[in-house]
Amino acid sequence: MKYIKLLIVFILFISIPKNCLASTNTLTRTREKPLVPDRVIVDENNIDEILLTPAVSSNEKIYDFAELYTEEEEKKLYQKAINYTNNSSIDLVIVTTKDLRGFNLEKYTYNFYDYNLFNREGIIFVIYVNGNKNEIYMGNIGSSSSVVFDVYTDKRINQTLEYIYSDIKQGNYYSATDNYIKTVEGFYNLNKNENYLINKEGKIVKSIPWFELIIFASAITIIVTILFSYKLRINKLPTVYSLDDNINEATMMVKFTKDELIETTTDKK
Amino acid sequence: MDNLVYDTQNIEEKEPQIEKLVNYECNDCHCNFSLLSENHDKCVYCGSNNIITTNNYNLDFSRIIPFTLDIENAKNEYKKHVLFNPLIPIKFKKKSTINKIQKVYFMTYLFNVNYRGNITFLGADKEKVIVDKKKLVETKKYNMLSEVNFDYSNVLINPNEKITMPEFTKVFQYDYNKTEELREFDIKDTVIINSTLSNDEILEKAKERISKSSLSIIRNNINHQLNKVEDNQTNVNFESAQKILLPIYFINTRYRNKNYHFLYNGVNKNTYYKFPAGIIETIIFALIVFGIVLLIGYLIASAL
Repeated sequence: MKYIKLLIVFILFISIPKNCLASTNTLTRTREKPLVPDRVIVDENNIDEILLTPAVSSNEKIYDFAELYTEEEEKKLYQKAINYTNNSSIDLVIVTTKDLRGFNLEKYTYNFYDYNLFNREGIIFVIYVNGNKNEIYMGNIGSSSSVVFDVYTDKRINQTLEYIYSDIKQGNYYSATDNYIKTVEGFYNLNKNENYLINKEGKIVKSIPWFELIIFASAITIIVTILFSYKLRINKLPTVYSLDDNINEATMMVKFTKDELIETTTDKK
Repeated sequence: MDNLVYDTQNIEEKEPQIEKLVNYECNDCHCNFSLLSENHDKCVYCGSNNIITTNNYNLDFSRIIPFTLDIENAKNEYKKHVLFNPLIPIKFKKKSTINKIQKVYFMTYLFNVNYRGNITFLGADKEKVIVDKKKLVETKKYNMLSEVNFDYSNVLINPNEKITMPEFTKVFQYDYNKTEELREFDIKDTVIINSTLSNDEILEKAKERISKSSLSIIRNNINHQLNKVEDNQTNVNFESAQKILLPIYFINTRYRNKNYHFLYNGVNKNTYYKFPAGIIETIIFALIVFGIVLLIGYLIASAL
């Protein structure tokens, strides 16, 4: 009987749809309970910003306030975000919103991360849907010596946003977010090596140093051409047309019968 | 140099051995060459058809060094240098050009010479000295008198202005102990490229070469830093001189109004050549090399 009860509970558990992974539920902040990390000092200067910033559970990772993803897509993105975070210890947060709560996009992005209980190190990606005009932003957060600043340099952030923006523009939000995760994951794996970039297929590829290659190829071309030019004429031509071999050494005579000093002069240099 | 004397009568003038040698002269390049045949229609040097037969004459060469190498050796040597160099213009690589390599005898002169006499040199040594704390240069001058004697044998003189000194020195090296009496079949169907200089000019050239060579050796024996010839009382005496025919495989290719020679010694494989770089060929070659290097560089950079 005990086993039958357990079986019924198990069947119910797997059959009931679960919506807990990617909810857009928010918590309520108050002045007494602002729900911010301990590292944030709450005072009169920032309390208004804190109260305006959505309070969320830091476990969810995907905060689809604008409802751009299907349930299935959220699950997939969540799993990828968790995998990335487990692998890197860097929190990966994705937010979609139609309301910036009076902030500009940059401010909204950093407030969202700073005033929720995320790791000290993290990256956050925000899609702001504003009618037909969509904006995206990527922020990196950490201490001054944090690896996020080494891995996610301004150049790489720009490359990443530039690459995924075409999908955002076409309304392919899942594809854009998926590519975003792949890209940031790729950059993390490549770590500090700057000679990489994202190609059109979204792969992180070696950045080809074309300028150096062209200089190198030009130099090799000149050297090889000179070498072949050198072969246009025969090498080792005699520079002195000596008749030494034609001299009969037995009869040769060079005799100095006189070698006398005739004058000594001293001059300035 | 004014004191050097020589006797042009010493050049051997042998009795005619082979009759009816036809002499040709090219109106374009002024090359002078001879053949037993009267049917030649092209200049051996520049390929021009604008040639005329001048006076027929009797061959007076006393000696010859016959060919021992086949023309195929010469063609293979030519191909080795030409075919594998992508910068050389196509004209040089054509079969028709390669087939123009011809067997020729160059008329040259071989001398035995004695150089003897006295030369007075002004020698000098310079040395830095310090006098009253001043840096000065002390020069000591010397009067030197030298007695010299040189016997030169088998000095070969190039009597053809169309053959440069580097070409001549590089290729015209033979064992003169292997000279033979000239026979008619040696020169059958073979062009003889004649001297472009007169006997006097050849002797002058020989005299100059002997004098320079001797002076160079004498100067090497002087122990002073500087030397200058003050008085030259030496004589160049031509003890014997003979005309000799030397075997060469030869081709002259004209390209962009310039002549390019390939010379191949018919006995010992000594070779001289000078080819031009074609503009189009060089550009194509450079582009190919550039493309290959760029491709390899790209593949390496992508793989790393």
